[in-house]
Amino acid sequence: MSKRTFGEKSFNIFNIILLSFVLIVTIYPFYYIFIASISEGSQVVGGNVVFYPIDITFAAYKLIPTIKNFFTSFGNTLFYTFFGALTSMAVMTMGAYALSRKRLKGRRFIGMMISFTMWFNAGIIPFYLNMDSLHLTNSRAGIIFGFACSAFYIIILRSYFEGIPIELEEAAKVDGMSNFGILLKIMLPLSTPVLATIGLYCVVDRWNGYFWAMILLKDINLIPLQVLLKKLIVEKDVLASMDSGGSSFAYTQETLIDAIIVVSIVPILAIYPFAQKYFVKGLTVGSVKG
Amino acid sequence: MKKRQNLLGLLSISIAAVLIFTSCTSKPGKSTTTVDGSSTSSNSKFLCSNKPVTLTAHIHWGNVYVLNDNWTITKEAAKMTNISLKGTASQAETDSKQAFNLMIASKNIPDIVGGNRDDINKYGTEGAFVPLNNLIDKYAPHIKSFLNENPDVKAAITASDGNIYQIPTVYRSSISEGWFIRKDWLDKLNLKVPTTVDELHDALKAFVTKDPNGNGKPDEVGVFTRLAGAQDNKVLSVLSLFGVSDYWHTNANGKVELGLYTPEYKQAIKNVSKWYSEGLMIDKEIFTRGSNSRDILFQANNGGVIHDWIPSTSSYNTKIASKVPGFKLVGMLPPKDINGNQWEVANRDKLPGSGWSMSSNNKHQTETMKYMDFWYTDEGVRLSTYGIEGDTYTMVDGKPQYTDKVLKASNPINDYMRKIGGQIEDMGYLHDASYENFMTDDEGRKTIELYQNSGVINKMNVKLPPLGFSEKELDIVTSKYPTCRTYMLEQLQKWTLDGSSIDGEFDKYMSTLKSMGIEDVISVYQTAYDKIKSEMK
Repeated sequence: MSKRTFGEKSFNIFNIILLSFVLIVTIYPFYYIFIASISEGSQVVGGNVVFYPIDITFAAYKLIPTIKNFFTSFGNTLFYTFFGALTSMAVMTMGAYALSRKRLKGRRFIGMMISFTMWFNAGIIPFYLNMDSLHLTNSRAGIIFGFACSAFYIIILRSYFEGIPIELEEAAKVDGMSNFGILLKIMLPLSTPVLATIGLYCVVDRWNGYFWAMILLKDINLIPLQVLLKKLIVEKDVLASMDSGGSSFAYTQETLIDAIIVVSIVPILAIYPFAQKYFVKGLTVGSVKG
Repeated sequence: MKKRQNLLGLLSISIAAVLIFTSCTSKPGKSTTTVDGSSTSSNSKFLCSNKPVTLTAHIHWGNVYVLNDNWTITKEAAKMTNISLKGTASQAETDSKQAFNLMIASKNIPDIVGGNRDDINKYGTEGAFVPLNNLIDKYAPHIKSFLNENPDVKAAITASDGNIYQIPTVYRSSISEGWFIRKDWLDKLNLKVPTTVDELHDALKAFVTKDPNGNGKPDEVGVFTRLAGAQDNKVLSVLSLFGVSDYWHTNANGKVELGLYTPEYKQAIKNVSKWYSEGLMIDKEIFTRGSNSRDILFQANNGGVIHDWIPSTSSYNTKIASKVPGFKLVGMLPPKDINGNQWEVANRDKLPGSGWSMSSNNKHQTETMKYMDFWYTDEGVRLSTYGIEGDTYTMVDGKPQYTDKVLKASNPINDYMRKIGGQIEDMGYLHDASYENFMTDDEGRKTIELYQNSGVINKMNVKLPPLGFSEKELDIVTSKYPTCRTYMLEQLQKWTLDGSSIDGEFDKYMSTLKSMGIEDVISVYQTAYDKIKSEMK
């Protein structure tokens, strides 16, 4: 039994209480969505579902395949997430590697320009007009390529690459390896923690990304699941406030939306535990050189 | 080595896949109008063009309803008029205002643009939209005669430069909200339907003290309403029992008034506060329950009296029947107010503000005008309201009646119609409220007739007709009114919950509003109202 002062003990207890509180507050919304999705619609709207589901029913989940465009949207989300993250990672690692080499001419200037974009951006309308004149609106290419770079992630990757001993590169150069070869065969294998971390961030960003998808995509067959979800939520609100008495429909909408939310969270929740060990390593990425 | 090759292979396949998929999306052409090869020629008297014409149209209404190729009603209209519509608005966008703004900003303005009249007039005066006055005169006989018979509408839609840019949707029925009371509770307590505000007070008192829902708990709520938004008026209909209307209206002297800025408001809010403290009115959660109040309170068998839209409120009689045995809501005329007057505070605005316009780069202006005129004809109105004969409605004794396909659908009738292109207010048409009879029960229909024949609507404190503001006037309103309104509603809430400070604070309240510029706003409305009145003579 280690000897602990009274101060330490009380701090421990206080800590536990505080963190438990934070835990409950954080978990409760997820928990609520889940129990609401398996409860009966009118009970949810009536505000009776609080701690446990009432009148358990899976009707909402059964309805999901009947929604027009559900599978298309889900497929789109998978597409944007997978290929989007892949494209992002490819573009950003190549950029970060180049920026990490001191022999790059204009390195400091380019680096500053990239950082500049982290603080200032032109806003919604100029960006939209930009995409419009590049003919990237209403296309999958726009979503994949238009959002491939994030200045913040590039800087993280660059710091990590700078931390890899330059002797390795010099030795490889002596053996006649090209720049691209060095990147692929030396840098990337040594960077698995940061790649996994940034990769996970990219995946989550793409999975959740809905604002620009909503603005740029016009055709309903191109939209990802999150945008479809937003449409359904807005529709439910419109129905509820309409002088139409369509409440029974709104009931089903309410639980349907909750079911869709659960369905759209589950894949990401499944990936996280596996990526977790990289996360911990990735937290200190770039902080120690050599 | 193998691993590297596999990685490279995966990368190249991925890039190839991305390129293939992304190039496979269709890119909409920039041309504004096309002439189809195939034609559905008909001898229809509604033909707007000899050859089939396709017009591009931005129609994104109510955040949810977007013109797309699945709209059967516009396709049916195309058969009758030879004009097809191609939607350009984003189906992914969930904010109509944002969709409109982006369209204007991108300068890709399609042939027809649906939107709010203030926005359309603003860009119309800048040249984005075509002035329609001459076109209406020459090619739109139905619109022309309607405007001539309704000079108030004509005056309201005319922009400050004298031009009409938008063909509006016009509501022709003034029925909107009414009072409903629990007949089953009245019967249980041996009370009659109240006819005066004092009788209503006593009935409410009985509701909340004598436990008419029989569960032994004092959970009954007397009067409650539905708050559909932060600035919603519905909670303020109770004020009408004490002679005050919260809507912009004209008083007995013809002067424009805002109920919450009148001396009469003092005693009205005092009474409201008294009712609240007696527990009669609005439950404690009124300001937080939002738009689901009716569902929540009726289902829990707690709600007693409500003032709300007649069709939807009455439909609770069928909806709740299985959950609450004996549930019976009946419509009643407004009880005589504290001054002995019987009047209904709400009515339906003639112009909801939505409609459509023609852009200046439209190359088929004549055909477009004729097409817009089509929706002001009886057949056009019926197509929009009831849909396609044989499919969504049939004629029974000369009157249209929805088919089971619509009546038994899981979503409400107007949502069903709107999803196939009917009843879209961004497509300016003459609104036909007869369809609402199908959305309610017998009690609802009875109540609608009761209100229609009683003359209580537009009897006193008449809501202002639709007004048109100049850009300068609109600036004054948008810059000053929101703060005034927020302050008014805050004080209303505060005084409802605690009426003790009303006497002391009322004068300060009035002078604060004055300093916020409320009188400038009122005089803007007065000027606009006088202008409309003079143009109607």
